[in-house]
Amino acid sequence: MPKLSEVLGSLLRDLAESRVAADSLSKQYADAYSQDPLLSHFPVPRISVKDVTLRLRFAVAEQVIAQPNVQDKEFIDRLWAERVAGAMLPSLLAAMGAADQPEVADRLNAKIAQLAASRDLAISSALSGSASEATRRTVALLVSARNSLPAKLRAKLPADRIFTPAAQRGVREALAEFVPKAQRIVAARAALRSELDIVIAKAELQQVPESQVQELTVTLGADDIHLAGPPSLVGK
Amino acid sequence: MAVIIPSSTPTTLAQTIGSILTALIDAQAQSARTTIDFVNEIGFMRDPSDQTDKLRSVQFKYSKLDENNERKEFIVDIPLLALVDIPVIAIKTAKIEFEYDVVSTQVQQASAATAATGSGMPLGIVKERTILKGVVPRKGTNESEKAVLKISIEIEKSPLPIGLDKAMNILEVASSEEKKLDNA
Repeated sequence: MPKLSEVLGSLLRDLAESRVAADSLSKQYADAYSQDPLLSHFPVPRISVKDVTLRLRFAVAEQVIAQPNVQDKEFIDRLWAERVAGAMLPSLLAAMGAADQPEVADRLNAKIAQLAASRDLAISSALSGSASEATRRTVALLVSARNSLPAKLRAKLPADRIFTPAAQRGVREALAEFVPKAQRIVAARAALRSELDIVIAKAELQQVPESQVQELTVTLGADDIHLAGPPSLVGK
Repeated sequence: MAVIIPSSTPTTLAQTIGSILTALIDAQAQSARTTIDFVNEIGFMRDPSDQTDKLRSVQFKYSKLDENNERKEFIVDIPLLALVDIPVIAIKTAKIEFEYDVVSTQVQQASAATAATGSGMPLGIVKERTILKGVVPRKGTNESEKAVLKISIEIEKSPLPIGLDKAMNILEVASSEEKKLDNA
């Protein structure tokens, strides 16, 4: 049984190839037109596909839905760490009363990235609803980063300020925004590993109860199947 | 010439759509050829004396006051092409609707798949390819029900190609007015 992805890929390739056939013929006409004193003044006939709508009827024969794996979780943890280091840190430092300490910010940025790469942040645990744990882990990451600073810089960022209600609220709000996106990313990554074997041949599809027949409509714009810039077919 | 879509032999969608697109291109080329034929047939005539093409023109007489304020008869010679509308028809849009029944699916290796599609296009990083083959089905036995490939085409009259437009300007210059001599 073919996979849905393979069928869609085949259809897209077919569309591109049909365009190749049309362009090849246009090129032949371009050559012929350039040889004719009168036709050479005419525009070379050329067809461009503006948009294509495919309605695909199929039945699912077998589906293998992949679950999020370790790599997905690590990816999300790394994204979160980048978010903390990049977008969140300035406001967190402001909440901690250290907005005017660029050296502290730079050191924390570097340390957060280093720590995120070497430990399990477990932000991915927040995807299943455990946001408080993710908040705690994020704060722990910040504390670790702060503790790794040289004593001189540590003094500019007292430990008790990291646990200020404002700082923790900032983390929670950022997490609330981040989690839905992370869920979509994880689902997309898992979908890439999922497989959907389908029945698409008419003879086989007729054996399937109509109630189990799915219909997928795909609309493609010209840009979606554009392979290269428009060739210049006008004879020089 | 465009490929005819076979109703019984399964083809790939690329072949089916490709044949429609190439048919449209052929149609436009034939339209251009018709325009050229029209120009040649209406606009020119072979001069048997020297076997060259001469402008086909029409002459007519009319009277008006001449430079001496006397009513005289004049003869006007105008190239026929300057009097007629030259058909330059182009396909503006075409909307194609058809059903495509998949009859077979095959997974082929890159080299085999490339040959099967007839495109000669390399498959790049894709080592395997699913080849779908199908037919455009007929829907019934009545003649009226057989047309399952619907194509609605919007055509429009295009402006004259630049070269032809310049030629028309020359024809305008070629038009002449001549006073008929009294003894003529």
